[in-house]
Amino acid sequence: MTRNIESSKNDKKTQETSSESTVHYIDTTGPAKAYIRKKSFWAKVRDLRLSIKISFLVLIVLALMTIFAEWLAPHNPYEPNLQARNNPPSLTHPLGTDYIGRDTLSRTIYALRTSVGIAMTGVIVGTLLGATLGIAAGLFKGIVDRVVSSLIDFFYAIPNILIVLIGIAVFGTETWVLIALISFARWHSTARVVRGQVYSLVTVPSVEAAIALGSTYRRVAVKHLLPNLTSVLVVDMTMKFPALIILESTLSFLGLGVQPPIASLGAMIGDGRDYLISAPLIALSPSLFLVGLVMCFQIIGDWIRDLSDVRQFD
Amino acid sequence: MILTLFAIVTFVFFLSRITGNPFEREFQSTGITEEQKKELMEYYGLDKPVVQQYGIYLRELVLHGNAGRSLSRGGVSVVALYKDAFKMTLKLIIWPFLLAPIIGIPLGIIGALKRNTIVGEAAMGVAFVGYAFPAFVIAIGLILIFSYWLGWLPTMGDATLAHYILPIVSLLVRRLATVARFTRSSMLDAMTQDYIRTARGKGLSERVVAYKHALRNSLIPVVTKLGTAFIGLLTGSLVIETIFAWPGFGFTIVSAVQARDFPVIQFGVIITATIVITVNLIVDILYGVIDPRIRTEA
Amino acid sequence: MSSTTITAQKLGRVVLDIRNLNVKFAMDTGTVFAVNNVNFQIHQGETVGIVGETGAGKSVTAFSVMRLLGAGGKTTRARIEGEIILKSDDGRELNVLKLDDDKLLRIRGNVVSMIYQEPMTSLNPVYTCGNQIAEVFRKDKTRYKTKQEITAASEELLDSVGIPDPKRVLRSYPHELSGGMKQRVMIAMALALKPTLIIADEPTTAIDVTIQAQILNLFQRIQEDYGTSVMFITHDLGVIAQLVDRVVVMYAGRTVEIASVYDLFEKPLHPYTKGLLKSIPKTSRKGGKREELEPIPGSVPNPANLPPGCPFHPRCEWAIDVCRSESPSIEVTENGHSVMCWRWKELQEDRG
Repeated sequence: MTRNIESSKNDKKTQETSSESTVHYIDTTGPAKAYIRKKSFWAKVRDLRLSIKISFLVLIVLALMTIFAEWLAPHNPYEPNLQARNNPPSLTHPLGTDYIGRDTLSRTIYALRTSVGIAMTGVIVGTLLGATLGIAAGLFKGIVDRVVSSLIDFFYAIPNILIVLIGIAVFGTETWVLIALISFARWHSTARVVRGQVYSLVTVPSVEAAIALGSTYRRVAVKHLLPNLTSVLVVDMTMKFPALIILESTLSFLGLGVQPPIASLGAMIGDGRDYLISAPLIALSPSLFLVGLVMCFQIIGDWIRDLSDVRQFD
Repeated sequence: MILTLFAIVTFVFFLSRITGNPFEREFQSTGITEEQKKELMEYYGLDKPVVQQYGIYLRELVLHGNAGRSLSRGGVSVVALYKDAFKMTLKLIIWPFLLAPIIGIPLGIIGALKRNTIVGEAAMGVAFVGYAFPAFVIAIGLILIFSYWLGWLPTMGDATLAHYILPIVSLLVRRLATVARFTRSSMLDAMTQDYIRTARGKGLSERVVAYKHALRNSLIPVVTKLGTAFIGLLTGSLVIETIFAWPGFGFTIVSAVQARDFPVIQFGVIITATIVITVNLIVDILYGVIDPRIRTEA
Repeated sequence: MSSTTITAQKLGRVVLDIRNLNVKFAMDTGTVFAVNNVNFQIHQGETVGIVGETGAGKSVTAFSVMRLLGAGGKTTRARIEGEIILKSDDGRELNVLKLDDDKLLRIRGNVVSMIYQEPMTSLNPVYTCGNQIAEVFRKDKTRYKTKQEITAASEELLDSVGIPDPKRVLRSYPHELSGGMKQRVMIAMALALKPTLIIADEPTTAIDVTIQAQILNLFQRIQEDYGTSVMFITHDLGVIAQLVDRVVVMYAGRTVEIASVYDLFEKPLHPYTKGLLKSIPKTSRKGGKREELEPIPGSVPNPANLPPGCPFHPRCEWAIDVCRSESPSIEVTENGHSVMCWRWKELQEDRG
């Protein structure tokens, strides 16, 4: 039993010595509390990497350009001016003119709008379609799941472009065809992802309870599943958008997408191909926008994916 | 698997018949005579009901290896057409297919191991930029620089060795970037695993830990990506061959679509689907060979 | 009075000396003090058990000794302060925290080695067990030069840890073995070069209870046959009672009580320890009635959000004002029993 407790204040611990009757204090005046600093929203924004901030900025600018195209474009993008063909940049035409005298800058801005519009529609429709089917597959399982899964595998077996190409061959090259096809081109990626997520969610007790208690499937879907699906959907949409833009551009480039006189980024690049020496800007300015768009989405997409990634690499 | 193939063939076939006689356009065009029209109608049985047409097509395809004749290229046998086209495409594709991992994997490893240094960031920067440029944009850019301004390299056809360079590079850039990025993330993933901690705990040097323990594990998923890469190259060829007038697989399909040449399109889809399915199969088998975990579950 | 108190004289020379160990992690939400002013020693041939709930800082302490903190054993987010001294037979002292990388690699496996909690994930799935064991032997080029020597040594090693068919196991991949076997392989790897100290991080937690007993027996044998010192981390007091010579009880990153195993179970001084002992399910009956399980009220504190004063005070039935405001210092009794509590003496004497 302990009897003699001397209060000798040492910093060093001397437990091992054979001094029988001494008791030693060990200084624990070291840091004994932890502190939490919650960062404000703006502080978190400031912490983001520079590339992400630039990307967001660029995307916002591009979005504004898309919306306010009419006000921004100095000329009518469809109006030919045969006197001024393939002009180099000048004051009236900051990026020069194209082969039938249309203002390149205006055309580029409108092309941006077209491409973004088509891709956006594709993303929305494709996501709706894919999400619905994915939810159905995960929720109802059984035959529905088997059918949907087979469809998904089927579509995965054929490369995107091919699907669209066949569609064009069959249905022609009207704009609505293009939009419809592009929407179809990527629904399966959403469906697969959603289905997987739903599958893991459906076994969660709260959902099972809801179903057991008789909620309609629709209610379950909306109240329980959707909130958890948002993160997955956001990632998927962020990946889909650049893919669809590239898809549309590739097609238009080959002359199989939007038809003249409508301008899209890919179409302009395709047009400009013939005039690379005389008027390189016809091809270069839409290329710039295209690459910029894709890169920004890439940066942001990577970042979003990192956010939901629990691992730490330090 | 065969089922999928079957479904695809059926799908394409009926799809092309949806808008009526698929050869309608050809028939409208001026260059075709009554004689030829009749011949085509007979050959393809266009006067018979659709289902029967389907049956004929299948029979011809499976039993005789005959997929019809091209409409836009003077009646050449579709199968023969594709045989030649495919050879051309392979001659082109083999290069980016080999070069992408040869350059990309080391790039990814550097990016992972030298994560927070300039070298690592530079490696990934290169990969990143490469990834952002769609193949045809690169192609245009390269043409602009190397053909027009510098006049070094030719752009059309496949005559000389020099003709290979631009198309190969156009196809290579994006694949390389993808491989590099994927290798890096796979490597990083492997480096945080428990067995790496065990290896470090045994006192093994960083080099051994990284190159022996982590690398082997991180390469396993990369190999499976090679399959996807091959298919991606095939689809990439659609555009690149068109740009460079390279008479290969992609070029054939695209021209066929432009000309509404259905027999060619149909067969093209069938071949593509077959290739995709085969490649996936090969990848699955390869996976089993490489990863001991899968091996013993045979 | 208990006649089996272990006094300082009976212990051998010090093998591991941890002094003022502080481990801080910089997280987005602030700084977390995972290990807070930890001091203890391990002597030659003794097994010291580190007990505590999850998050108490046991594993962090253990990993610090080998500098293996972080995912995959490498981290830049932790700041380790203090000294971790390894003392070898010939009296040489090494401060692990100040070693340069080469030397660190050399002592790992040779002087200190470690056994991990999850045998499933701690072995590399793409290499055979033989390959992974050989790696350890290869570090000692003087004693194990040829492949045959290594293979022979590996077989002998596996045999000594109770693996029935060593040749087959050497050829096998980790996933082909059961959990218990994998753990034995890991123990073998740790023993290969006959280290002075083995750190075992909850080696039996992920294993079936029946195999657990075998593994514990193995540890006992290792103690007896090799005289290796062991730092054994666990949350299971039963294991402590069975295997360990001295106990370090940790709570919220601090060592709240250190004692010999007998002293701890017979005369626990810290309220937390007392609570732990009371919450062990017992099958005996007292006066015809089964005793009720008495868990400690409350839950383990979030290491990022510790209250001021003694970290245990929110759950302590004897907490007084000073406990809530000031962190107690550690006091040591004459037989090496240390405790971190303001009121330990009075609570002791109360019981008489």
